[in-house]
Amino acid sequence: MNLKKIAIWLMVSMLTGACNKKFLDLQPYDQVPLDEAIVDENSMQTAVNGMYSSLRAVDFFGRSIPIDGDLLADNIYISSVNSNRYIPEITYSYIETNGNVQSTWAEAYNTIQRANNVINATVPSSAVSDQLRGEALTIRALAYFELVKFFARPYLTDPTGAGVPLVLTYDPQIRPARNTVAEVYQQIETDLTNAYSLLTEDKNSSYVSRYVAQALLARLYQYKGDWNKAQAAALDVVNNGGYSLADSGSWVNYWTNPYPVSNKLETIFEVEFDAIGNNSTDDLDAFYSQDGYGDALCTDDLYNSYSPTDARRALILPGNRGGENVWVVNKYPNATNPNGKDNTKIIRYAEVLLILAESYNRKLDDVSARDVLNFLATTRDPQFGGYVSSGAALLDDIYLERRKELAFEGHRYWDLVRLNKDVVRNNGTGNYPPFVPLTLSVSSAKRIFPIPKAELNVNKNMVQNPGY
Amino acid sequence: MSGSLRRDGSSRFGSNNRYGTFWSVGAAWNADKENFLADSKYISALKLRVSYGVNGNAAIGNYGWRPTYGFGADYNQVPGGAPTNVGNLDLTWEQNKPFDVGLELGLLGNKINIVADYYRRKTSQLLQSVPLSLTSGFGSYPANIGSMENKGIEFTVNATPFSSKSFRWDLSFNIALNKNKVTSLNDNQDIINGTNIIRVGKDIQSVYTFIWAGVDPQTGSGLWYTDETRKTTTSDVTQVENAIIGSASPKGFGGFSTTVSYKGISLSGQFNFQYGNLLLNSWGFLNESDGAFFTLNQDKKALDRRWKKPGDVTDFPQYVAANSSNSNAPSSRYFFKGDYIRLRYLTLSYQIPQNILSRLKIDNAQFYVRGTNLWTKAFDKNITFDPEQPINGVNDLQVLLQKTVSVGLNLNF
Repeated sequence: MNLKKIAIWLMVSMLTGACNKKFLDLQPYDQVPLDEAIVDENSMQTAVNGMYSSLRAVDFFGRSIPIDGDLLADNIYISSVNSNRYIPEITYSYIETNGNVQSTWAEAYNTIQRANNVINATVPSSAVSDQLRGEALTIRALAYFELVKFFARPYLTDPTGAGVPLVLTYDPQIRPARNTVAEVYQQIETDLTNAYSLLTEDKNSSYVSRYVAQALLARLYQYKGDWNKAQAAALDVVNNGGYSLADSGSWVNYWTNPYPVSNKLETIFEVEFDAIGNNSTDDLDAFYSQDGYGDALCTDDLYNSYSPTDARRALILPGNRGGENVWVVNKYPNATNPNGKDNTKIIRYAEVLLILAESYNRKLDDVSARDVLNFLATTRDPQFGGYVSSGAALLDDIYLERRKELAFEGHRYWDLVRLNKDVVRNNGTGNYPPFVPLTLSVSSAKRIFPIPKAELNVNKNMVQNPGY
Repeated sequence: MSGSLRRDGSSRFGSNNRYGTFWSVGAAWNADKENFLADSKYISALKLRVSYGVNGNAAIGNYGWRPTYGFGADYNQVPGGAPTNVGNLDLTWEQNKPFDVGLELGLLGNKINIVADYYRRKTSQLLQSVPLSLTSGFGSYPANIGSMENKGIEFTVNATPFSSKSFRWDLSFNIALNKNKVTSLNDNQDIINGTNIIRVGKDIQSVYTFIWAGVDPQTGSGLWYTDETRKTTTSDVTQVENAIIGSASPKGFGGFSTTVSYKGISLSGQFNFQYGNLLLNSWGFLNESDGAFFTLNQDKKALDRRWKKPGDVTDFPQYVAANSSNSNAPSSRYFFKGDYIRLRYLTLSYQIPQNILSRLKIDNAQFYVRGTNLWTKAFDKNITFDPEQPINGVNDLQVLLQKTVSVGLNLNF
């Protein structure tokens, strides 16, 4: 063959792409193609682990959700010596370009995407795959519950108002419109109900079990004001879940433990943070710890609501910050523990008891309501004689007990929103500097977050909340 | 005449569209070799060029097209996986079709040389990272988004106005003018990313943000125009719409240099310039925050010039601890004109005469003093940072360009 022939042969072969197609089919060494990711029980378990890990994101359960729930109300405030975090939240000045707001939205939907992939995987039904599917359904419900809470008006105010888009399948190109609040609630109820029947295993407090689904259902019905169902769900957890309260002597130890538990003491579900899986100084514990940012401090108003014999008061310690005597939250004391970080509690047995007490009260059974409420209150404070109120006064007492029990776990603000009450910050002792508004009325647009601008830019079907 | 033809495949593109065929043709005419110019007194060189073709751009990440699950999302220290890449099976080569006509001209025995080019480069299948709805669980993905056009001229002139045995003066000037326009986008849909917008008919680096309207002298509040008509101002951030206020792409840039030498002494300088672009102070929201970031250091100028009492006419609002007005939201307030002229080099050198050197057995010796970036003129009087910034126009705490003066001696043996 002469040179000319070789040249022609080479040209033709190149132009027709004759070289082996596989030659250009390069795989990244540390990733697998999407359609090969979840093919059996093992790979499904790996995807479920990835789903759980996304709960740790900083603006999700890593820090912002539990902080916002207290900071937007009156349990905590930002010290004058601070890292400039959460100033828009405490001053109610968040706008649609706020970074935390955008991340909360994005991180919740990231978790939902990971859950969707597990739920919709083609792995055949088995005890193992059913359990994993149930875990994913529960986590998806949890993420939607947070989204609809933060970005939509409360169910009891406007069930047909704009909720958040329900995205239930993997579709990167989706541009969804908002479903109604009632539709989102319906989806959460369906997911949790399905999960309850699929879940059979009880791993430990950092994994979803059937009573996690049932406890979250009790919370959903509470937010919905469906007291028959709230009572039934709470009773199922109380009667069949096997959970117990820590006695007042071991209460502080319970909070000192950074590891998941299998003894069903207090925790029903928590997001696990360990020596490797954590956000370092951006975690919840470091935002309270004076060895971390330590910006968030307990208000005098909350501290003074505890009696001296209440075990819960021992989780709030006197400290000094910027030359002032302050109350330091010690519910999350493992910020500098090299062996394990504090877990974010998603739902505890005490909350289920409080939902049960409220359900009884709402259904005009104050005797049962007081029984349940006093069981919790006297476990925390053995010197306490118990509540004797009834009717609306008893409901107020239940909410006072909720404030004290669930403080620093992100519930206080949402209690006020659900009850359609103004936020009124008691500034008798001067915790709040002049720039912090002392009220947030029920009519304020700032009661809920704006839909992030980054979403509106891309998604023409999305509608902004009024007032943003 | 010249030409080329090639077919390329790249693993960076989707399995559906991996191959591209590229070619080019060019022609040049050395007119000075023709009879009618061979004896010209003035024109000593003349060349005309023209070229056209198609080439491909694959300047993206290696596995961006591939939808994948990645690992490392561990829980309880047990391995976890999660989707890492959206992927795009249709992702393909960005195609450029550059058309260029050029002229090279030498005058007066090549004492003056001129090179002028006009180009028009049409780009199709533009490769960009495109934001997705966050409800998908993803932030962005790589796509071929549409097409754009760049056209402009490049002009260089080199001249030696005077040259004798002991004295020589050289001059050089060059300028490049470019105009970019996005000509089509998929579904004609704007692509917005922070304060950047890609919109049909506009420059691809267009800046899209609130228009700042200064400070209310009565209240000290920051004001914005409600929209691009600039008719109404407001201090309520929720009433403000974004508008295109310019582009990060310069309209033109170039340089000017000259060298004067007399015997062994030589003085040379080089200037650079650029104009027509906007620069973003990307940390302005933080250090000119009007108190929103009140526990962090603030720009001294912003503090000195802040509004203090009714009647103050200034460009910085009242300083309020934990300012909740959002006056530090992204706006034209943090953008500056990027126009500048800079003296890049100034060098004075002395060549030590050969008769001295040869006695010392040294071949060549030169003593010099050189200054770099000695002088800069920024045309925006409010700019607080160096006007020479990366191509995207974002000042992001880069290390400042240094002003240096060096003294040296070059010796060759």
